[in-house]
Amino acid sequence: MTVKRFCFECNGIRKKTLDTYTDVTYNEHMDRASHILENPVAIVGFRQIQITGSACVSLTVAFLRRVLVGDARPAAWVLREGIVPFAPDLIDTGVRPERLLYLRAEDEARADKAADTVLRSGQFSCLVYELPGTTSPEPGVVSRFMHLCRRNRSTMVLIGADHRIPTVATAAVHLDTDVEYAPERQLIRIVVRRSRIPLADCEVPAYGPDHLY
Amino acid sequence: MARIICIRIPNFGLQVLRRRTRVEETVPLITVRDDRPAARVTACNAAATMLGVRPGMRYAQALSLDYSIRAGVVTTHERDREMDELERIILGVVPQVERSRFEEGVFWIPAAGLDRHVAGVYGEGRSLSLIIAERIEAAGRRVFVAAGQSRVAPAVATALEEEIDFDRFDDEWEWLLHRPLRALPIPPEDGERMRFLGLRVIGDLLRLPEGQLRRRMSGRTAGIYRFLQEERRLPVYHHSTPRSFFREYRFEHRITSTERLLERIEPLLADLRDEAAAAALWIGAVTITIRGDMESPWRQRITGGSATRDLAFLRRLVALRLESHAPGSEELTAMRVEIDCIPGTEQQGELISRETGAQPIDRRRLDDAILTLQAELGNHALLRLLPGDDVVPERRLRPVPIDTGRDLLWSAGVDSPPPVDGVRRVRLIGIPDGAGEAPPTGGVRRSGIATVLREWGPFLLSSRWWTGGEIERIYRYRLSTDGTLFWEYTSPGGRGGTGPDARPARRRRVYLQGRVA
Repeated sequence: MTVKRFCFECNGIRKKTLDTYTDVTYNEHMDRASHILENPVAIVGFRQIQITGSACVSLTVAFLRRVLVGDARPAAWVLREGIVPFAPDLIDTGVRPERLLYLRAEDEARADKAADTVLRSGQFSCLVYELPGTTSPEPGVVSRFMHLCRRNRSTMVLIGADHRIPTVATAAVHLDTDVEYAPERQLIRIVVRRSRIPLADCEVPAYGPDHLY
Repeated sequence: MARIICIRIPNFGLQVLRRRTRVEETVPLITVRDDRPAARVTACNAAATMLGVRPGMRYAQALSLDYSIRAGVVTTHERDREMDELERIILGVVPQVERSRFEEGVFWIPAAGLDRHVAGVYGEGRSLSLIIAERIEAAGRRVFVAAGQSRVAPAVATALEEEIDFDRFDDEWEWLLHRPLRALPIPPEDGERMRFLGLRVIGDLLRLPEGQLRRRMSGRTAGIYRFLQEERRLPVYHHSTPRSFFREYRFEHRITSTERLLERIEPLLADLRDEAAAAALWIGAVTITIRGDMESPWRQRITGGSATRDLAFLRRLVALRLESHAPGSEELTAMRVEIDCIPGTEQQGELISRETGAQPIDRRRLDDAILTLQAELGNHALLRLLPGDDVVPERRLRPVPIDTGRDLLWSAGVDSPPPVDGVRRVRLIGIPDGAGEAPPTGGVRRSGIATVLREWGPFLLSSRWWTGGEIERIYRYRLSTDGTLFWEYTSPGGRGGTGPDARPARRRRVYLQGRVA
């Protein structure tokens, strides 16, 4: 097993730009992180990516962008808490929101069933599956999903965190990422933390001239 | 819910010695490394401790405190045999167990997902920890059991004989950081050094840089340190032992028909499938052996290419094989159905796909999937984000329930490159009022030449804003030299429908949709 660790800090803080879209830049650090993700997926054929940590959404969206660029099929996102990722940041990151289907599942059984339907259809390039909190999925269930992913050449991203921040904003991001690259387990497990934004009781950082969000 | 159960046999060597010598608890008993007076004492029971014996003393020293002390050496062979015996007891309850590589007599059991198994086998309300503890105690061993979210915290809890009950991994880890270092199996020499350095609790150890630790401490302590660091991340467990199950059936009346044979195989397959599912395993191959009047048994091994628990799929596989390779017209007397199971995570290794590249889209299948999801989750549960007309950027994308799968393919095939910098001039065409059906943003736009510094896109394409024909528009944001951010689109031309795109365009035109406030 190889464990790669890297840590980035984004020094350029975006200054109240979202209201005018004048200085929106794609976060290159996120791009680097997702590139590391992409390589094993493309070369070895990893079909399971587990991303945890409070800022897991950021890396997930960055990865989604890469998947959607290379695949004409849309992607699906199974929401567990009903919080849609911060939409303007989706555009900033380069994800076309029209190609992303959000599924609101009320309980675990429905989420599993929805994920099964999505993967079985073979018409989705990627499935983002939110886990409640930091729980780990049942190995048998995940294994079944892996089978479907392989058959239909889809990718499954499992994300989970206690205090998940739904925004993928590139401002004030401290990306502290541990990549566990375990070929023998066919698994990539990544922890993404965000340090400058208070994690507890914080869903969306306040920014902009009127501090709307 | 607990994910890992730790089982600790306290004073493992002493318990092995006591079982061998069959002495009472009240007799002072110690284990020594070698059978000689200068050998070190490795463990002592409560009675010996009362007499003043401590681990690390020489055997002669201990004997000088009280001549009634009894001592013995526990060989590696004895320890291994005891560990095997304990593992056998635990595997009688759960499908998987892991030995600690740092301490003897410590086992970990991944308990996630075993609730249903326990409830089904031992009844509702029974705790898995309690069931295992009862089994081990019934076999004459003392045992401490704790359950937690990782391997290290329950192990520390059992070493300190404390109880833990945390639902969150972070809370458990916080508890762990304040536990004393003596709970870890650190060699005594390293323990002394740590006391000298002022390290008292586990959190102190983890704050130490790994390089420093390696220079100052032994390799065993460095290994424990690395183990703790790995456990800080959430552990993922996988099964490691493939298993197989079988059922045998003897026909009351000899049969010759393949249909009759298939009828007999089906219930056996269902039974085996349930057994595999209860053990959290997947069926990789089915082997059918039939005996009868033939010279040698008819034997077929059937693999479906991937592991499964789908009974209908298995039944079809067997039927196909029987159609092509019938056992013959001889009379059949007995059969044996055996399944080879593959653990889930190992199965992932088999399922690696080296094929990359885009998959073609089947619109009918996509529509079917959307319809199925709507039926399962409800119409309101399927959403996509569409551009809205609000002035606040955050609200420009609004969630809209999806109708069909085609809604998701509107922008297929268009790449989304990063922003492009560079000065260039773009002719913008304003949309006059009343030109077709107005888009949501509405209003008159000014035509003219704009000098563009930077542009983003294409990332927004028109969706079903307009009723009637299918219109595709490639949208971009363009920043002009005077700081205005235009929101415009390029007409691909010749698409038909209503609005500005109604007539075919000879060349692409850039239409001004609006300005970002």
